[in-house]
Amino acid sequence: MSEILQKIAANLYEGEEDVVAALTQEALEQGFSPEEILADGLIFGMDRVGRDFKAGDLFVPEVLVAARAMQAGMDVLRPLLAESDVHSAGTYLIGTVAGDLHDIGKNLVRMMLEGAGFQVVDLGVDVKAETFVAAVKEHKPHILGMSALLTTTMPAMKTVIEALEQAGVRDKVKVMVGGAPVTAAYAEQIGADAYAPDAATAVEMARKLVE
Amino acid sequence: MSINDSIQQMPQFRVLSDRQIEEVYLATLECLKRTGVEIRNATARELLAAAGARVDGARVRIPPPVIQDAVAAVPRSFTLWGRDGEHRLDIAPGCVYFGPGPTCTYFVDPETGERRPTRRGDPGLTALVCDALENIDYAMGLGLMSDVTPTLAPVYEFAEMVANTGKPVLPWAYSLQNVLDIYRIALAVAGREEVLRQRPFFALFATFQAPLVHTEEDLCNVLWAVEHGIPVVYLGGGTAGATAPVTGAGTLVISLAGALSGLAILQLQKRGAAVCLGAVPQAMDLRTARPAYGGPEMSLYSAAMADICRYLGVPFMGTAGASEAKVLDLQAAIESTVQVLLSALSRTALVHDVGFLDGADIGSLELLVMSDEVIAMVKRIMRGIEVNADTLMLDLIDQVGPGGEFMSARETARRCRAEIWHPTLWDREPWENWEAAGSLGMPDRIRARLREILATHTPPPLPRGVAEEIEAILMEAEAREK
Repeated sequence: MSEILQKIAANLYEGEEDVVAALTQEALEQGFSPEEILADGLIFGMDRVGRDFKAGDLFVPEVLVAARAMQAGMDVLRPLLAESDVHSAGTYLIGTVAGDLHDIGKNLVRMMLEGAGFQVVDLGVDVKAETFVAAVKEHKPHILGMSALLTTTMPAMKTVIEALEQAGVRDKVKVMVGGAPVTAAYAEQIGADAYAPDAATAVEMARKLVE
Repeated sequence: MSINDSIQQMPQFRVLSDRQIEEVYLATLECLKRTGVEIRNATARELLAAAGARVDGARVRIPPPVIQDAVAAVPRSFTLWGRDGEHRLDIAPGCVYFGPGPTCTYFVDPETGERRPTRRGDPGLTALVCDALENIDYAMGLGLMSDVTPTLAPVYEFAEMVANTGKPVLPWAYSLQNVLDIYRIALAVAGREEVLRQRPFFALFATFQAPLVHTEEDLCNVLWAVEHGIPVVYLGGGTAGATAPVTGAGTLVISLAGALSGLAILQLQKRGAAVCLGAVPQAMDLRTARPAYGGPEMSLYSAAMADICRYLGVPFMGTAGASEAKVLDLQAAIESTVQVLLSALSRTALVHDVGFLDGADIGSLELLVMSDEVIAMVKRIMRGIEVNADTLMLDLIDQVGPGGEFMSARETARRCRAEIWHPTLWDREPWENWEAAGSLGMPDRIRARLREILATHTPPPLPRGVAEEIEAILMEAEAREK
C-alpha cells in the first residue's frame, strides 16, 4: 500500500483529525482516487480501531476521536464520491423512551455507532411512541434503538414495539433495547430483536443485525 | 511509588501531631537512659560503652546523645538495586515499596490450594510471582522451608529467590555463617565486590526482640553486614498487651526504643551505614491472647511509627497485606486492604508481609496477587489530584457547555489512560457479559492470574555459570553442617 494511505490510516488511528483531512487532500493531489483513499486509508484505519477496541487495547474516547478523524477525511472526499460509494454501515434511529430523561448511555451508544460508520438519527430523550413510529416511517432506518434507565419507564419499550406493529412497520426495522434494568430475557419477552448490555456490544449487535 | 509533592499534592495523612511525636521520642530517650536494653553481644556492648553508655552485665543504659548522634548519622535515604539493573528502590522520604514477608511455617500450595508445610521451591515461586507483579517491588521468601537442613534454610531461600527475580531481595539469617553464605551467593551473582557495594541488590533483614532485647545472633549478623556495606533492615516491636504496654503510646515507646538502640549500635560500628528501621507494633486479642496481625492497631501504630521515623529522618519498614484469616476470604481482603492503604498514606518506605495469612503462619501467593491490584488502586489514590490551568480545563468546559459531553473531547482521549485507573482483576463488566464469561468471582480471577504467571513468567536469567556456583556454595554449606 502507498505511503500516504498508510499515513492516513495511522493518523486516523491516533485521532489526528486535521492531519487526516490534510493528508486526504494531499492524496487526491497525488492522483489517488477517492475510492482508493476511502478503502485503503480511512476504512483500513477505522477497522484497526475497531479490532483494537474489541481486544480492550483502545479506550472509548480514543475510538471517538478516531471516528472524528474519519469524518474529517470523509468531509474532504464526500463531494467527490458517488452517493452509492459513501460508506455507511447502516441507518440507526435512537432515543430514550417516554418518561426517561437519562441519556448518558444512549449518547455513548450513539457516538460509538457513529464511530463504527452508522448514520445515526438521534431523537433525544423522553421520546413518545408515536414519535418513534413517525421517525421510522420518515428515515427508514435499519435499526431502532431504545434505552431506559428506570424499571418504571422500561414498559414504554413494549408500547413502542406495539405501536410499530399497529402502524404496520414492525417488520421494516430491527429493534434493539438497552439500559440498566433491561435484560436479554426482557428483550425477548417484549419482542425486541436484540439486547446489548453495553455500548461496545451494542455496536457489535448492530453490525450483525444489518448483515 | 514515588510522589513529588511540589508538582502534585499527595493526600495528607498523619496519626501523630508534631507535639505527640516529640513526646514519644523524648519518652523513648528517657526509657533507653533509665531502663536501657539487654544486649547479648559483647562487641555491641563495647561500642556503646565507649560512646558513654552505662553497661551493667547485659543491661546497657544509653544516654540521649548516643541515640541523637546515631539519628544524625544514618542516611536519610539509600538505594537498593535489582540484579537486573532495572529495578531501583529509592528508600527515601515520600517513596513507598511493597513486598512479601519471611518465614511462614505453611504455604498455600498453588496447585491444590491446600495448606501444607513450606518446602523447597516455594520461596522461588514467591520470587517469580514478585518478579511478575508490577506493584510488588522486592522479594522475600513467604515461607520457611521444612525439607532442608534446618540451619541452612535461609541460604537455600536466598539462592532460590535470586534465581527467580531481577528485583531486590531481602534475605534473613539464623547465623553469621548464613550471612557469609548469602554474601558469597550475592557475590557470585554480582561478579565483583565493588559492584555489590555500589549497587546492593539485597538488604539483610534482621529482628530485635520485645521488650528491649537484642540477641547475640541478630547483632552478629547486622554488625557484619554494615561493616561490609550491606544495607540492613532492623525490625521488631512490641505486641500491645503482651510484650509492650497495652496502650498505643507505650507500644510505640517499646518499638522505638528497640529500633533506636539498634540504630545506635550500627552507626557506632559503621557511621553512615544504610539502615531501615522497622516495627510490627501489633495488638494482642486479649480475649484469647492470640495476636491480631490484621487488627486496626497494627496499621494505626505502624503509621504512627512512620510519622516518628519521618520526623527523625530514618527510613521505616511497616506491614501490610497480612491477615489473621485462614484462607483468602473476605476477612483477608478487608484486613490487607486497610493495611495497604494506611501504609501508603503514612508513606512507609518499605512495606513487608504482603501475602501473610493466619498471622504470619501461612504464605499465600493468591493474597500476594490480590494485593498487587489493591496496591495499584492505592497508588492511584496516592498520586493525588494535579491542579493547574491545564487540568482545570476551563476552555474545554466552556466549549462543551451545559448539557454537552466530554467523552469525545480530544483532551479526554489524550489523558484517559493516565487520569483514570483501570483494574486488571476487579470486575466491571455488565451482568450479562460477566455471566457469559462463567460468573467468575474475585478468587477465581486471582487464581487464574496466579496460574498464568506461574505458567508463563520468565525471570531475567542469572549470568552464565552462576547457577552452578550457587549450587557449589550450597553443597559446601551442607558438607560443613554434617
